Order: sequence, then structure tokens, then C-alpha cells
Amino acid sequence: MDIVVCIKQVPEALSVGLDRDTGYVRRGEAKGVANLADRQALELALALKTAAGGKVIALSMGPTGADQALRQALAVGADEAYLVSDNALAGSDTAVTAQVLARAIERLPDIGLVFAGEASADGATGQLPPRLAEALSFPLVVGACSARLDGTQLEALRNGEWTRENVAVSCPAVVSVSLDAPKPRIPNAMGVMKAAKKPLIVWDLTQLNLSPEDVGQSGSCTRIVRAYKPEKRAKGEVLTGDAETLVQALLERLARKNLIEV
Amino acid sequence: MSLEFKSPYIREEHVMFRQAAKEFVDAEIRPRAMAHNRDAKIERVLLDKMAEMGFMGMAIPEEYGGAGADPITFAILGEEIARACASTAVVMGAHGGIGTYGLVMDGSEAIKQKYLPKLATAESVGCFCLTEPQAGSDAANIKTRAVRDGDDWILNGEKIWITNGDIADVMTVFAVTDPALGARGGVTAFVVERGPGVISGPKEHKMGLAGSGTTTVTFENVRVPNENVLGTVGLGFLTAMKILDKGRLFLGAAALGMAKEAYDMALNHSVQRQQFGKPIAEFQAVQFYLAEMATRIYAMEQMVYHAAWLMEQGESVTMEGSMIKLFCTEHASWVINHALQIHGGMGYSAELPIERMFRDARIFEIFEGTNEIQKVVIARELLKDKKKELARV
Repeated sequence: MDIVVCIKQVPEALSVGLDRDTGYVRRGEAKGVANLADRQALELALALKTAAGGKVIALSMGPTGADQALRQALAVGADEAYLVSDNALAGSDTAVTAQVLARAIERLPDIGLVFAGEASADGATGQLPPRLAEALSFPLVVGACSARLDGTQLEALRNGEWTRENVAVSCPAVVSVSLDAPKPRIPNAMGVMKAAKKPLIVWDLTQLNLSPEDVGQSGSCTRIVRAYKPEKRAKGEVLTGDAETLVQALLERLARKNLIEV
Repeated sequence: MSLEFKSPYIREEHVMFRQAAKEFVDAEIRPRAMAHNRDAKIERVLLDKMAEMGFMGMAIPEEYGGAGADPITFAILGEEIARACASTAVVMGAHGGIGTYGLVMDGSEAIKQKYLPKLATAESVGCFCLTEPQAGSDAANIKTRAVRDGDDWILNGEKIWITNGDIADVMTVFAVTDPALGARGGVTAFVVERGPGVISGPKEHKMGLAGSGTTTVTFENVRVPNENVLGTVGLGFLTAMKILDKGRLFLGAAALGMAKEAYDMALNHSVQRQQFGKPIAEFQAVQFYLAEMATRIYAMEQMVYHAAWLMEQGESVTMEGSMIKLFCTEHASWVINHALQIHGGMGYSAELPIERMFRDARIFEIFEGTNEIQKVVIARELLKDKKKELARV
């Protein structure tokens, strides 16, 4: 069976600015990089490739030309890469994105596992993997730190609310991968040279049997009403002195704010 | 944001490779650079890690286990490694550049199969042995002698200033096979394995590049099989010149990387360091330095990648290679010197890497052909065509 890894190209944190008027990230000028958690998802997938006995396929949705993250996936060992790209997709929310990716995954034969990072570094909603599982009707493991394949059963160590949990799930399944998973490998020179020759296939909406009304802002159920920078918090005050003075000073300040009665 | 100018020669895979190289350098080389300088050595484990990344076999074709990288990719690597540690860049260049090019370009199929896979994994380390006590800039004046003995050659002589002379075990060695002909048909290139009679001297104490080992290598009745001749007997000097033509591009790229690093540090420092109540970047004296540094870097970068592209097209880069070596190494020193000046006293402190970069950069104006020799090469190329033209009249 093959493994799909969903990879989002996100703006590199250091190269990104916010538009003063809209509050949106100025994506045009930012350097595109692969979302770190997605790279970690790819790392887990590559480790399972032999056990799965198939291919590792990288999948992304984004504007034309935003394929650097997919090329990087090919360079570290993904066998194929698909970019779903269509002008109508601009403004799609996570629900639409999950539908589109699910359609793409359904077009690929013999998919046993779908990996994705737990959340993206830019939107950080963490909604995509659960929505994808729903759209595909696959079971879901959230926040996996490691994974092992035993036949068609996947065993994963995942971050629970307060504990680490060992869980097992039958394939096909969706697995979201935590930032606590092993660090991703860096593509080596051989991989980069090979990646330029590997197939990177671009699909548009017609190939996925979707119409422009289903996607983009028109298909989305959420609207961003306003984006703004978080307000700056007041500067903290550093108290100095011995323990007794410090405790006294702290109590006074808490009392002044009516948080305690002295 | 770091200084990088757009170039028509940089393709998508080059952008990705630079990113990967940066990640590796930040994780594995930058944290070791101070220790390389202090301990005057590079950890063996680093060479192994670099080999896993394909960095030790960049110029080696894929079929022999190398990365089969194009010259642009190799130049990017030179830049990125030299940013963090010039010693590491030089060890890699002496191994995977001038220590490997001869085998790739002129080696027989048997030589390639025997040596290249091990060089690519750094199981073997390469070096380039041309310079001798009386043959520096006057490279044609080498005295190391190779005398035919049945199916073998017997080598005797002394090489000096050999980068990787301490660790190399596969050496590209130039020796006189016909003293009457000298460099014009009497010098032959050999692949020599470390073995009986190959003696490395102690490591030189140098002004900079402390991490890279530089030694003498003496050959005392070293027996080399005839199949280890690189190319044709008697045409070794041509092999040497072809290797150096290519090597100069790598040196230029490394110098460019050092200049960029120094510029980045100077820029960061100038916006943070406050004097007279404002960041020193507000003063025109500092602004003019930054402007001139960036302009020189722009010129260096365009030269390096243009020539790398020419090389990829299979064009000769004899003149361009020398121009790059001359221009990039001098201007790298200038940029680093002024980055040091912008840092003031801190620039002179060994706590920051600038003083090390200042010392490391100086040798780039000297080794692999002094910059004066580069001018000789450039002028010769310029006059060659004119002379031909005059001869026709």
C-alpha cells in the first residue's frame, strides 16, 4: 500500500511581514518553506515505506509554482508529488481544503495511510487532519510522535491530554504528526539532483471533478471578518531584593489590584 | 535577511540545495567552527556527516557514488560552508575539488572504479600535490621524479603546503618523467595511495585556516603501478592546469561566502550597537561601508555564478576562473576587514568569528596560484588572441 503525506508550503517566519491595512500575511514576498510538522510527517512515512511495501506520495494544495515544499519532499525520498492548483481555490477554508485533498487522495490507487502535520505554522488551526479523516471516512490518530506498521495495523505513540498513549488503528487511516516526532532529515546533494528529475504532477479542479463554486471563498463556511495583531501587553516589573522584601512588595501589589486582602 | 542577489543561472533545485546546505551548516558546522580553530583540527565525524549529505563527492558522477552535482550547486556549497568555517570549506575543496577533479577528468575507468566511490563516502580523503620548495608560482619547475621500473614507476621528491597532507590517502601527484622536456611534455600526473615511502611532515603553524591540516608530503622510493597514471604520460602539467581552472571557481565561491557572512554580521551589529544615542548604522561613515561591501558582494556573486554556468555548458573558464580568484579573494578580505572595523574592539576579540575570518581569508589571495599569477594568466589569455591576430597580418 502507498502512503500519502500532505504538505503545506508556508511562509518562512523570518521573511514574512503583515499587511498594515488587512492584517494578512504578505505571502507574495515571503520565502516558501515546507511546514515543519509536515516534514516530520514525511519522516515518519519514509520510515514506514518498507513495511508498507509501496510508494510515498507527497500532496499539496497551493498556487501554481508553490512547489518548493514538494520538491524538497522528493529530494528526501518521496517517490511522487502532486500539487492541486487552481485559481478558484484561493480563499478556501480548512473544510474546503480537506474536501479537495480528499478528492485528490481518492484518485490515487491503493492509499493505506495519510500523514499530515498536526498543525500548520501559519494558520495553526489543526483542523485539516480531522476534517480529512471525516471526508475520507478513515479513522484518525491525532498528535503521533512515532508510528509502526504491523501488517495493515498501525500502532502509534500519541500525545494525549496529559499522557502519552499507545494506540492502534486499522488502515486506511489518517495520522496527524506532532512536532514532538523525530526531527526531519535535511535533503542531501544526491537527493536534490534526483528530485529535479522526479515527476511532479499538477491537478486542477476539473481533474478532481470539482466546480469553482464548491471551493474558494464561495465554498467555504468560514469568513475572516478581521485580522489584527494581538495587543501589546503592559511591560512586566522586575522586583529585586531579598526574599522578605520581595514577598512584601509582591503582596502590596496584589492587594493594590484587589486580588488579595492583606 | 541575508544578502542574496537574483541570478538567471540559479534554478529551483539550486534554491532548495542552498536551503538544505544552510540547515546542515547551522546544525553541524557552525557549532564546531570555534573548536576547529582552537584545536587545529576538524573532527573526523564531521567529514562522515558531510559525506552522507553528498558533500564529499559533489564532482563525482552518480555512477561512482557521488552527487554528480553541477558546478553551480558545488559553488553554492562552497559559499555556505565557508560562511561558517573556512577550514572546513578548504578541507572539502582540497578533497572533493582539486583532489578529485583529476581522477574524474583524466582517470581511466579502472582508476574511477577503484578510487571514486571511496572518495565520495570520505572513506578515502583526497589531496592535490603540485607545489614544491622551488616550485610555487613557478609550478613548471617541479623536481619530484618518477622513473619507470618494469610495470611501475618509482617516485622520489618533496611536496610542500599540501592541504589535507595529514589525512589524505589518495593523492593526485605531479612528477617529472622526462627532465629534458620539463613541463612541456615531461610531467606526469599519478594517483598515489598512502603507503610505504609516503611521509607526511608535521602540521604547519599558520596564520589562519587552523582547522585544515597543511603538511609536507615526501615520497621516498614510492612504487606506483603504471595504471595509476592520470591521463597520458608527459601531459600531467595540462591535467594540473585543468584542475586548477576548476578549483579557482570553488575558492571564489568560498571567498564570497565569507564576505556575505561578514557583511551580515556587520549589518546586524550596526543596527544594534548604539553610540552617541543612536545605532551606528545611522552614521554615514558606517552606511558607506555597508554600501560598498554589498556592492562588492553583488559583483562577486554575479561573477561566480556566471562562470559556474559557463563551466556547466562545458566552456573553458581559464580566464574567468583567474578573474574570480583574483577579484573575489581580494574583495572578500576587504569586506571582512571593514566588517571588523564596524565591530570596533569586539571585531578584534576572539569571542566573535570575525578575527578568525580575517586571518582565514588572507590565504585565499595566496594559495592555488597567487593573485599575481592570476593576473599573469588573465593577461596571457587577453594577449593570446591579439598575438594570433597580429600574426595573421
